Amino acid sequence: MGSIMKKWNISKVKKGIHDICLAAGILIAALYLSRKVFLIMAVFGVFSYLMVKKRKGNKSFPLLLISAVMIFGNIVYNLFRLDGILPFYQYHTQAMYHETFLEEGIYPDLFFRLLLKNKSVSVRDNLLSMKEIEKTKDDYYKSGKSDFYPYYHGWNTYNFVEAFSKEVVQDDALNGQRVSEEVRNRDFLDFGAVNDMLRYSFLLSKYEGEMGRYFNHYWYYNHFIDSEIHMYVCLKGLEESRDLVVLWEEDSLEHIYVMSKEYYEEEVEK
Amino acid sequence: MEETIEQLLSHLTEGYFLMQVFVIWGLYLTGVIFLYIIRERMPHSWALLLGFPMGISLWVLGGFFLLIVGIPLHPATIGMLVLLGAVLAGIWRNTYYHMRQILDKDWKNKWQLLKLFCFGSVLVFAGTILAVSGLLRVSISNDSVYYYSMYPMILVEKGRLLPVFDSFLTDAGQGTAVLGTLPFFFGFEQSFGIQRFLGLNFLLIFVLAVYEEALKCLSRKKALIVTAMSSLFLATSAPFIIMEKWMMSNHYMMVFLFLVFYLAWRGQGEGKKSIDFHIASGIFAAVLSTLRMEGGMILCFLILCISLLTYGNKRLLFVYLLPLALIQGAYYTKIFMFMELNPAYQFLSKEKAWIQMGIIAALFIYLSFIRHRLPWNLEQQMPGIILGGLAFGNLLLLLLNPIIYIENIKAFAANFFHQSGWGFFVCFVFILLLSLPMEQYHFGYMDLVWTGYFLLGVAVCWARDGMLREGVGDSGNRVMLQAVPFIIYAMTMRVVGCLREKNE
Repeated sequence: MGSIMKKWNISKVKKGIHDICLAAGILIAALYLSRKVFLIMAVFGVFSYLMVKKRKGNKSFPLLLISAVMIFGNIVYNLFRLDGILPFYQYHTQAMYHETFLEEGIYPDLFFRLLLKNKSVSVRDNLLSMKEIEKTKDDYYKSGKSDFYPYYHGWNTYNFVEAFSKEVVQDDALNGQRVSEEVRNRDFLDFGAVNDMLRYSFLLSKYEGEMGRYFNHYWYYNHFIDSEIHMYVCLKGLEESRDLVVLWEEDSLEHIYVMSKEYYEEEVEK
Repeated sequence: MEETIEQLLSHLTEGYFLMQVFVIWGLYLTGVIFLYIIRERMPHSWALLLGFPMGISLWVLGGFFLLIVGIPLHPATIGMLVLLGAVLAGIWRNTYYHMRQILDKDWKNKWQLLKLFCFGSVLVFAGTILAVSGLLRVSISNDSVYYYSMYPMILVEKGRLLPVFDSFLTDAGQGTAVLGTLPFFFGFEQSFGIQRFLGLNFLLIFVLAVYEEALKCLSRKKALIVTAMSSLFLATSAPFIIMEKWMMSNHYMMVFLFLVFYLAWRGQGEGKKSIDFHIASGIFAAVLSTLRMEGGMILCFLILCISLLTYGNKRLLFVYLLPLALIQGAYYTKIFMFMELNPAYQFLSKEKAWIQMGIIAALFIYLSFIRHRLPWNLEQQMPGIILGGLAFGNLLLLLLNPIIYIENIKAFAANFFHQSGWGFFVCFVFILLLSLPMEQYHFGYMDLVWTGYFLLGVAVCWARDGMLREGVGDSGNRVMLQAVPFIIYAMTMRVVGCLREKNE
């Protein structure tokens, strides 16, 4: 047994495993890399192999050259390809919301929560209580609106506003108030879809059990509704105002309208 | 219109720049002070460079503790916990005696120390301004917005963990969430500056780590060149850039993975009596286990690798395994027994929690009763045995569910070579492995960590109960991207070994 172990040189076994793994890696690379890139890497690999492993003299210069080529390769790759992998943003403010998000229509809730901070917000006061929800949910289901509708509609927006503002004032004068299409097109900016904001508002849910869960929120806002709920913001007077009004539509798509209280009293209130 | 929005955003975020700068400074000072409390032989350069990661660690561990025991999360409470920890550490390490030794030194030594501290402060100040300025680009995605910003914001609002957090308790690393509470406690909006500063800090740590090891067997000039080339390679490699700029937990995992890996290696050179590197490594290891859900599993693997180094069993048990067992055990108990959590979709399930605790128990048995009791030639082969064990484990997973396993491997291969954030990195690693001589090569701690990590990553991703996909955002792909610094470090040490042959 001892003579077998001597013949079976462990370092040779290690070398063998090492070479097999490398060969497998090169084969996989060949399957996935473009022909041009594979050819360049193969030439570079052969060059490195000859300059370092097979060379008997000083290896400092060849290693320096190889590492310089690799760094150069990295820089070239970064300059031409990196921006295509992930979107990168240069921030000119300390907000998490970037000004280009408006055009892209993404992450409107980042702007919304920044706006809500330290503000007093007025909302409707006609959200359904648990008793009312239990009584009416079957009717909503039969009407095609889903029995989740009374649980979530308005409530998730309310929970979000309550969590991130200084205070929320429920005002029955806001019940039934709408922003007309004319006013919306004239004065409001479409900040994009808030389905994700409403989906993740499960974290603020007051419901215990199934209705408070992430899965049901996800199903309702990203599958059942099957279209986008948008957030519209009127920028007039927002910078100076300490009071906001947040309205949401009453149909299945609870589009959200955010404006200063002064603007609401001048242009929207009937 | 963009100008109007930008104007409005600037108005809404007045004062945020200064607050973030102060928080970075505060974390750095806290970390440096703590390191000087536990310091015995740690060089001043390391104490100053590890200050910021240590500050982050103290905040994360303090916040995590409060969440577990149910005490309301608040900066004052975290501060008191950190102060208590510092006082206890000071008593244990006899800090007063060590500080007297520094203060009793002659003026020349005190002046040297002051110069070093001033230089460090200027560097930190410059780095902070750069990191918070917005000059360095960042990338955000859905996970950045909801898992690592909205969820921490709600944690600040509620002050504790609640059952309604549902799958966020089984999918999101609570340590990263605690870190994400910093902006909302201290009056700013995003933690871009904190992450970018950590990235800059990490590059300097990497530079020092390479330089110190290279200097042991190369001339100063060669060591400087090797350090420069290695650091430049890291700084320009696509995986590192993406991890550093992308506002996710993976960046923190990447940094803390390297810190645990390297400081364990570095600490063994200081002798048995020196414990400062080990304590720092142990604290970073505890934080690592909280940053992502697979953090505990990765730490178990690292502990197994660290057991190859020259530490005694007691030190491994108390510095690494005990904190891991307490953190994981306490968290699982809280969410599965007290909260009775059972989300419809969950990465961490009760069964996986039991498996994790089982692995910790097995490690305990190994470290207490088996390690250093095996025959000498078997001990010498431990790196190969561990790697073989991981390979065998992967084989079992392949047999259990071949479809998921094979599809995941295909996804990994596609990600490595297509446009999923790796650039030319994998090709360059293969080329280096091919070119460097094998004759003097010894498969030890460094190579085990990165090769074993790959096998572990495949296994962890198999356990997700879903198939991976091709794309930079794929969870498995990001888990692999985290390993880049220690892969580069291991390759650099092989290059140093190759040059050393001609230097002797």
